[in-house]
Amino acid sequence: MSAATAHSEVPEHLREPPLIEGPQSDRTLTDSILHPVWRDPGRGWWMALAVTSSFLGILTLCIAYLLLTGVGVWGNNSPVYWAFDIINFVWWVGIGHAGTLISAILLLFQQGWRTSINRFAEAMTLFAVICAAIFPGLHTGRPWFAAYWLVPIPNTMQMWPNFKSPLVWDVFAIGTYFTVSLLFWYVGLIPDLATLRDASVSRTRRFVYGVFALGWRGSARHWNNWKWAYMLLAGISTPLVLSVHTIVSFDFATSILPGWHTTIFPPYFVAGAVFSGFAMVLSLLIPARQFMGLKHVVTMRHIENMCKVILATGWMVTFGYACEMFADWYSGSVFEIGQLLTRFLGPYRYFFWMLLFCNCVVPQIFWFRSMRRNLAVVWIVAALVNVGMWLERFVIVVISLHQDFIPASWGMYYPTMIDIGMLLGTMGLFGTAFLLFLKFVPAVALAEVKELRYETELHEQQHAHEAVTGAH
Amino acid sequence: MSAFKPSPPTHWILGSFKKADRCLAAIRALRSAGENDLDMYSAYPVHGAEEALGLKKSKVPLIVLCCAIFGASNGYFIQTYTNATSFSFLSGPWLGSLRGYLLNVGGRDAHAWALNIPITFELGVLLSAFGAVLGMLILNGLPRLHHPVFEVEAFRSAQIDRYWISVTTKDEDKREPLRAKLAELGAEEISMVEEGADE
Repeated sequence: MSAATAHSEVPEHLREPPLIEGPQSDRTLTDSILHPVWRDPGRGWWMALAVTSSFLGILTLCIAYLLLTGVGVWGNNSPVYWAFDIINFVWWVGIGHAGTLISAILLLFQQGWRTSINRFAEAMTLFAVICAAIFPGLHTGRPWFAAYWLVPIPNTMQMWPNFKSPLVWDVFAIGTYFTVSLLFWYVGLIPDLATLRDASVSRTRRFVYGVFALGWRGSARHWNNWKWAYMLLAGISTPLVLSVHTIVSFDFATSILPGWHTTIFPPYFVAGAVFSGFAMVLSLLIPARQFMGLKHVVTMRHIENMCKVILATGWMVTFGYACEMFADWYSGSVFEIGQLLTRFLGPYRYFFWMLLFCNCVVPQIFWFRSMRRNLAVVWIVAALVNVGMWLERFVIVVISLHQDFIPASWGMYYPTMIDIGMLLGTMGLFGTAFLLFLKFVPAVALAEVKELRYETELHEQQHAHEAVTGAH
Repeated sequence: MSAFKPSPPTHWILGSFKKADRCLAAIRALRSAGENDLDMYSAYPVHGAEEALGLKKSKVPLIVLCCAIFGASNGYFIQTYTNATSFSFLSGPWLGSLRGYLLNVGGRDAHAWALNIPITFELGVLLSAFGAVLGMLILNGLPRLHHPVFEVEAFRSAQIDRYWISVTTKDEDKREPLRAKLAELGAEEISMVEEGADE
């Protein structure tokens, strides 16, 4: 029996839908994927930009006020020394992780479905890491001094950073993560910038895209080196993305505070990061593919696959919560058990119950195929997962700090308007950067989609050939 | 103008194909006819192009390996030097600030190798990434915004949906035979560019 007949015997509803829909040629793919760059962005885009840049303005004002006044404008207090700044930092970094996972790990596993969404997710990584990096920088109070606190710059005081501190590891992890993500993204973008240069009609665009394309000619010699560089960047990004949230979790796990002092943190932070990252990709991709006419390359199959990743990582996170609770109880330590009870019954209990609902209960709806294919449901679940993951960091940071060993030092934390303004402001920064990305750069990796189309075509020809000759 | 005899101009003969396999077949035919100054241009990496052109394995992996070793050892060295020695270079306004500082935190070991792992790893990764990108660009001779192939207006399609071949020669008499050969192999939009003609 030939492979082609075996394929046709599979019932329709069990067959894998194609990754690129409709009959497409390299020309139609180029035209449709570059169309959002050439066309007038339209009123919707301008309105969205007006909203996001207003929030960006709020962020700028909040930062200016903070720098002129001091970190006292935040609600941080004793005992809650870390609050929104570190919550937002961990949340944003986590969101970035899906981008690297899609671009690097799925590339190494040769998952064809990554191709249409990797550029998008990598851009999300870059902007999320920028939003994240704002908080620890400002948290130092005097960011202009932070340079020699954080990296070893020779100075007249003969001082060096303490390299045994996880906070310094964090600087190197985030710095490396941002730089490598940017390089990876740019290397993938160079061939597409060359296509933009050569497909453009206006001289200005041709010149600007030409400069950024660095004179890429698409020569086989170029591709020979490019493929190695791209594959190796994917190879080194894979352990890197796992290390980043591991190191972020060390900020907590190496301390002795009940609620932080636990060995489950590194894997559970990484799973949580992927969980929230995929949710963010879905939240952005569902509207973007609609408005940009990219439904033929970002298909329902992509969305379904991402829903499955959310379901799987949701269970990993749930397992992490269960392990943590079990370890608290099994330790027999009054402080650990006290911390556990505080989460369930203490003053911030609603946050904890909300977190369990958003992260453990809501994603279970993705067991149903019809729900995975319902865009409204998928978008709402993705939004709730993002809320849930933000609450998880709130629970870890604030609940653990506000009631520790000595009841006399217990206290409550309430965010100020500046705290909330900065959280919303970074969303504005993220949204603004994203809208500009959608306008000026192809949101789908064009060269990679063409390669995928070419390989699919070869594969089909081979099948047809086998069907004719009757070979296996 | 110049007393030196200018080197003869290089002639670029370019042709396009609609199908990747036709283009690869043409390259094989040209190579077996003894032409070695060949290149192929496409909008995505075409499987089999390296073999057809006889390209060697890329040197990017070697560059990345060297950078990774340099970055990681440098990362380990910086941490050990600054926190676990009190070594000092010459005194002076700038060199004096390079003195190591034996950092004692609660009597813990000054040199605890396990705590150096994260930064050693991160710097290894950081330098490898720079090695991969800069190595790729340098080996490809980029950035180079000006190139003879860009003189051909139709060559724009190389980044869109066509596959292009270039043959280069310094021998003016070989131009027409190469052009005829390309046409015979099924190339379209055949064009010629002279490099360095007006120097």
